[in-house]
Amino acid sequence: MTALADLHARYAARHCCRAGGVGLITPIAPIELVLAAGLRPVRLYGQTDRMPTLADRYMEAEMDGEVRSLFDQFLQGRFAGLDLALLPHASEQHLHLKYYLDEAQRWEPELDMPPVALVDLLQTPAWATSRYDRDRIDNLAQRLGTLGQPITAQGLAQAIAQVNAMRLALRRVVALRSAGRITAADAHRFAALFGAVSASDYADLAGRLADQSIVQTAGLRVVLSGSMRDDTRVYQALDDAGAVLAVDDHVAADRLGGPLVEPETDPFEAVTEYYQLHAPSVRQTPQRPLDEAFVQRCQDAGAQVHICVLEDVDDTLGWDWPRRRDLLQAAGIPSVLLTGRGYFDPDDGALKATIAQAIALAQEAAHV
Amino acid sequence: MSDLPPLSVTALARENQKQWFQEFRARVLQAGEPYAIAAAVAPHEVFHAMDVPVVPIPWYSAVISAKQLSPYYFSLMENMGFHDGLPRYSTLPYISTLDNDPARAPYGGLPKPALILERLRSDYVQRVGELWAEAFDCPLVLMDAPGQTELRPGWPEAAQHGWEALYEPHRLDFQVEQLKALIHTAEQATGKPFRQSRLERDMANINRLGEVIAEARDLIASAPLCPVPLAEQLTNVMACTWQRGSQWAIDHANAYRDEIADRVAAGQGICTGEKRRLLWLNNGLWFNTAFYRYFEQSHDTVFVWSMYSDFLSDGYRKYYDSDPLRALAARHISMSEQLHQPPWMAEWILKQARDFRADGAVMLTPVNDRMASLGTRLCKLALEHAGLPVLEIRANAVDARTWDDETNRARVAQFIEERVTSAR
Repeated sequence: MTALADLHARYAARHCCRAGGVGLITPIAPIELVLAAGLRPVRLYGQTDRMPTLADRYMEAEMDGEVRSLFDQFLQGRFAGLDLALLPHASEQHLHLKYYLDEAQRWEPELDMPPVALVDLLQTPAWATSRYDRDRIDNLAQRLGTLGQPITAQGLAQAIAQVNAMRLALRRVVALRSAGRITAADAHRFAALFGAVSASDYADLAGRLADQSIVQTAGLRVVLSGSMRDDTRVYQALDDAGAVLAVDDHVAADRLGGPLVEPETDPFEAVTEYYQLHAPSVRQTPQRPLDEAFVQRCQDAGAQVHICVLEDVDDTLGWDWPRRRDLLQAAGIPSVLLTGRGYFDPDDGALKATIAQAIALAQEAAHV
Repeated sequence: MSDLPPLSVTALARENQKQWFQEFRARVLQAGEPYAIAAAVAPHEVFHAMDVPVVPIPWYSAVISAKQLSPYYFSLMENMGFHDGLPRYSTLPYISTLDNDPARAPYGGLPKPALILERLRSDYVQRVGELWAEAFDCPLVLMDAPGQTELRPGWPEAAQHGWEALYEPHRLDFQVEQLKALIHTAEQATGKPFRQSRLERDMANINRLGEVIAEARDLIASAPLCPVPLAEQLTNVMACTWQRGSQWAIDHANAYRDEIADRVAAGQGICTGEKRRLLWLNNGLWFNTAFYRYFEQSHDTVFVWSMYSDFLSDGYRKYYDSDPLRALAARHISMSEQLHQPPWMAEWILKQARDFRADGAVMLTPVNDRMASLGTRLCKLALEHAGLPVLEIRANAVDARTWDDETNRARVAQFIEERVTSAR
């Protein structure tokens, strides 16, 4: 196990047991506000290696694996020590998680769960949405300010700077991975720690990764897209195949690194604008510019083949696939799709076959 | 099973639908008038107030399904690269547009609209809307769907007069702003003005319409024998729903209620030996509505209610003092929560079970339409906790390929024999 793997494992295992802190579902919760209130952010992860036991009493198997796992962990009492858990409306699934948690508590009032708050930051690019989001930011700031210290403009600006430093550190690590200097698995572990450790520790960690990185033999340059991943299995498979992950395109990967939050005037407005327009999520719209930007990133990174891996319950990202495939094809980058990958106990044989297919396609394209 | 003929209003409703579409095509294709395509849970009232025809997406989806065309379109969808796990119910019309074959599509297919209106009740909606708008080369308007801070118990009681607090003021403020933006965009896209007076008239008409549907509902619920088959309830109530605000809808609802009242007064029922009543939960089985009547003769059991029977009454009515736009905002802002989210879904269905004296429920849990599958487990739990047995059937409401009629018929029969009977 690498030092980073060890750190990530220790973090994921211990956070539930520690008292206090504000739990964050997904890395795109407004972490700046938590820091500005002087509170400790705690990342809450889905666990791919634990099948839900209690969750299935209330929740359909059609829900995203991450959401089922988080729901199960709430019901198990794993997050009971938190002062508050924030559930961003980063997808409809996360909104539903809030409703299901509320309902589970009505059925079982004795459940040991922390208070849960919906962070309803919407992402349609409209002025009315920006005003709604600002109202929600103010509402959340007030609540967090009561829990910790009152949030001032100055305090928020400082917190923005801290989270921007995390984004810059992530960019640095993405560049290392894209250059083949660190493994895809380690880069994923680093991305998963976004918001989980302090900005200074995060930057230090990026520095250590850079120091320890090695110049590797150039492998096939792969783009990975599709469902969010809570473990390293796909990355490990790519590493094992000798591939270099040029672009990692899901909502909790490379796109977390940018853009930065720019507090030109009012830091509350800057945070509002970021979470409305730039926070990576499946609710971002319109899709065509996102797809075109994705293709540009792939070209800029010198990608040779694209692999899209979709979770078995996907009802969303599959709509993006034909257009992305065609746009990349026009840019000379072939694509392979793997659907039906389980969140729990996935079929790694199918994954390896897909990677082999992608390698063959890329080699064929190179000959042409 | 009795030999009662269909209600005379049912044929009129069907005829009206055909006539409406013929008029629609004449206005749109021949006269070049603009029209809109809109999601079911979107404010069609805005377009009505501009005298712009609206095609509801699920209506056209149900028509495609009823004409047994869904297998063709789904195969086409998969050939295009859309994987077979993607949602079906609301995407069929989009696929029919991609097919671009007027000879195959119902009523010759949908022509290019002035705009498409979607409400973001799931994460795929904006994607399909965007692809569809690109295929038509028309604008897409997305209405965002703010989350409810808390789903407080009691929506059926609060939804008509106490909606301001129920749906939360900050959400309604936002929804009103979105409506204003929609009106602005729609005026630009269609070249037609929005008429406030027409909106006010329509809002009053819809409240009146809902009252009449409630009267029909009460007649069906309290009658000793169910007087009207479920499929006919759907045909009549949905025709009124799509044409809500119009005088035709009120007149039709009055005729529907009166015909039911006549049957009840005469002691007539669709199943003379009726012993058990079932609810049908979730989406309608659009490609096989005959299924609802399979068990009348064999098991003296009728399907007496589905959400389409009276959501027009319970969910659409919004009484207000001064601001019709805010009342309109309240109408659609939480429809998905009311129909598909615990606890609101279960709460309403339990009320229906009591009112309709139901002995059990058959729940269609959609495959490849997870938005409609949400809440089903908690709803089943709540119903069974209240003593109402529930049979869950997994299938897709518009994809006939996922339906095994013989097996499902046997399952419902077994359910009635083993669980519904014993529950009485």
